[in-house]
Amino acid sequence: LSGSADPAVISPQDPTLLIGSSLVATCTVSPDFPLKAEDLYWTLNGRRLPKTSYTTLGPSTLSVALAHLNGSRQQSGDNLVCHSRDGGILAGSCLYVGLPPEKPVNITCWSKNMKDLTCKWAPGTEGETFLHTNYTLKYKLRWYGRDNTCQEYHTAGPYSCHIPKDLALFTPYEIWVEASNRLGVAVSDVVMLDILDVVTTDPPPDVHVSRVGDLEDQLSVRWSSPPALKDFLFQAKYQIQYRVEDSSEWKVVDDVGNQTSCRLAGLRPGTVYFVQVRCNPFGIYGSKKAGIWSDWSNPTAASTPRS
Amino acid sequence: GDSWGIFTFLCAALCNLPALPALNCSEELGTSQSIQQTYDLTRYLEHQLRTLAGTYLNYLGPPFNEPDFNPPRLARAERVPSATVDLDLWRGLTDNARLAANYRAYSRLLCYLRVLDGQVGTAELRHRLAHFCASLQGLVLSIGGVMSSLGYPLPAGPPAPPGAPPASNDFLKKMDDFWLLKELQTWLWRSAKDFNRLKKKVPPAVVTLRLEARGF
Repeated sequence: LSGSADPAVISPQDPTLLIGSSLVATCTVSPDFPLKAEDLYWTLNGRRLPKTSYTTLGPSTLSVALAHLNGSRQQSGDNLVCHSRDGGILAGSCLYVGLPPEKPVNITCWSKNMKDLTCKWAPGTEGETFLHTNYTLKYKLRWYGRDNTCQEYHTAGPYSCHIPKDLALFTPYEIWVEASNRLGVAVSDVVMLDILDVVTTDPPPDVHVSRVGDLEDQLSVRWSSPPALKDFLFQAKYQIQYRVEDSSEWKVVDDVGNQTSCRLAGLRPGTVYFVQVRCNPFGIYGSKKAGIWSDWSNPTAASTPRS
Repeated sequence: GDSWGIFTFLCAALCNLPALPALNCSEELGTSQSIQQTYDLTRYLEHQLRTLAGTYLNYLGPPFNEPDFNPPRLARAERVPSATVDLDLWRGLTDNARLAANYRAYSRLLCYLRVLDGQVGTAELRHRLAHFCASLQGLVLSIGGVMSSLGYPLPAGPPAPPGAPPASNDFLKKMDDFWLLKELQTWLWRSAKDFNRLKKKVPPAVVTLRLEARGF
C-alpha cells in the first residue's frame, strides 16, 4: 500500500456553486489501487446517490451527475464522497452551494462618552446565503480619504464592531460594511455621521428614591449626572420610569428636563415602587442631533407611606 | 519508592528521632494535591470535549457526525500523536516516561487545536474551542507541575513540528479534524486512568501521619 498517494482523486475538488446549478463530478482511482469503476459508489452528506446518476468514463473513473443543487446543508460544505464497494472512503470533495451576499443594511452607531464608536448592522439577506459570510466594517474621515478597518467584532451582537480609539470629533465620518463570501462581495450604503451626534453615556449614578415627608402618594427621586460627561451636560435630558412591585408595566416620566431630581405624584399609598433613570446627552458641543439614551440605571426600590 | 519513605518515617517517629524537615511534608502534600487536580482536570476536559466534539462534528456535517463513522487514517494524519498503543507496553513504562508522553502529546494536540480555532466558521464553535484550549493549556501546566513535584525533568524544547504537510484539500482537512478530536478523546480517557493510578502511589494518608507525629 503506497503511503504517500491518495487512493483516489475527485474533480472538481471543493468547488463553489450557485444554488440551482448542476455538477458532474468524477472519481479516478489511483493506479496503485486495484479498484475499477464498477467497484465505486457515491454519497452526498452520508446519503448514497442513485446508480442512475452514475456514468463510467474509464476503467477506473466513475462520474456522478447532480442537478438543481440546494443550498449547502452546513457552512463547512456538503460532503461528496467516493467510496469503494465495502464502504471505505477513497476521496471526498466539499461542495459550497449558496448565494452571493446582499448589501448589509440598517447601520446604526453610537459613541460612549465620545471615546469610541460601536456600530451594528443587519445582513441584507432575508433568508440564508448558506455560505459563511465575512463582514468588514470600514470607516474614513470624509475629507481625508484613507480607509480604516474595524478590528473588534461581535461586541454588541453578531453583526457589530467596536472602534476603541483615535476618533476625531467635529468632523464627519463615512462608515460602511462589506459582506463577502465565496460567491461575491456586497457593500452597504455609506452612512455619514459626526461622533458628537451619536453620543450616549452611562446611566445616571446614585439614584435615591425617598418619601416626601408623610405624603402617601408621592416619592422623591434624586440622581447624579453621569460622571464621564458631567462637564458637558448643559442640555442633558433625563427620563424616569417606575412601576409597582407586582406589575411589569412601566410608567414613563418624559418631561424631566435637565434637573437631577424629580417628584413622582399620584402614587398608591403603602406600595413598593421600582424606579429607573436614564440620560440622553444631547446637544454636546452644540450638536443639533437627538442624542442617544443611555441604559436605564439599576432599579431602586422605595415604598409610599401607608394611609 | 514512596512506601519505603513512609516506613522509614514511621520508624523515625516511633523512635523519637528528629522529625523530617517541614519542606518534605509540604512537598508530599503538594504532589498528592497536584495529581488529584490533574485527574480532575482530565475528567473535566473529557466532559467538555463531548460537547465540543458533538458541535464540531455537526458543523462538519454527515457522515462525520454519524456514530459509526471511521474514515481511513491517511499518512498525513500521523502528525497527530496517536493514543492507541499496546496497553502492556504503556503500563510497563516508568511514571516519568508516562508523564512525559502525556505532557508532549497534550502540548502538540493544543497546537493543532489552536490552528483549528483560527479557521472555524461559527462564532459559537470558536467560543467553545477557545474555552477548551484554555482548559487544555491548564492541563499541560498541571502535568508539568506534577512532574516537577515528583522531581522529574520536563520534556525539553517546544513540541515537534508537524511531520507531514497540512491537508491539501478541504475534505482531507475535515478528516484530519475528525481524527484530532478522536485522538484527544482517547488520550483524555487513558490519562484519567494514569492519574488515578498515580494518585494511589502517593497517598494523602502519609501527610496525616507526619502531622500527627509532629504533635508529640
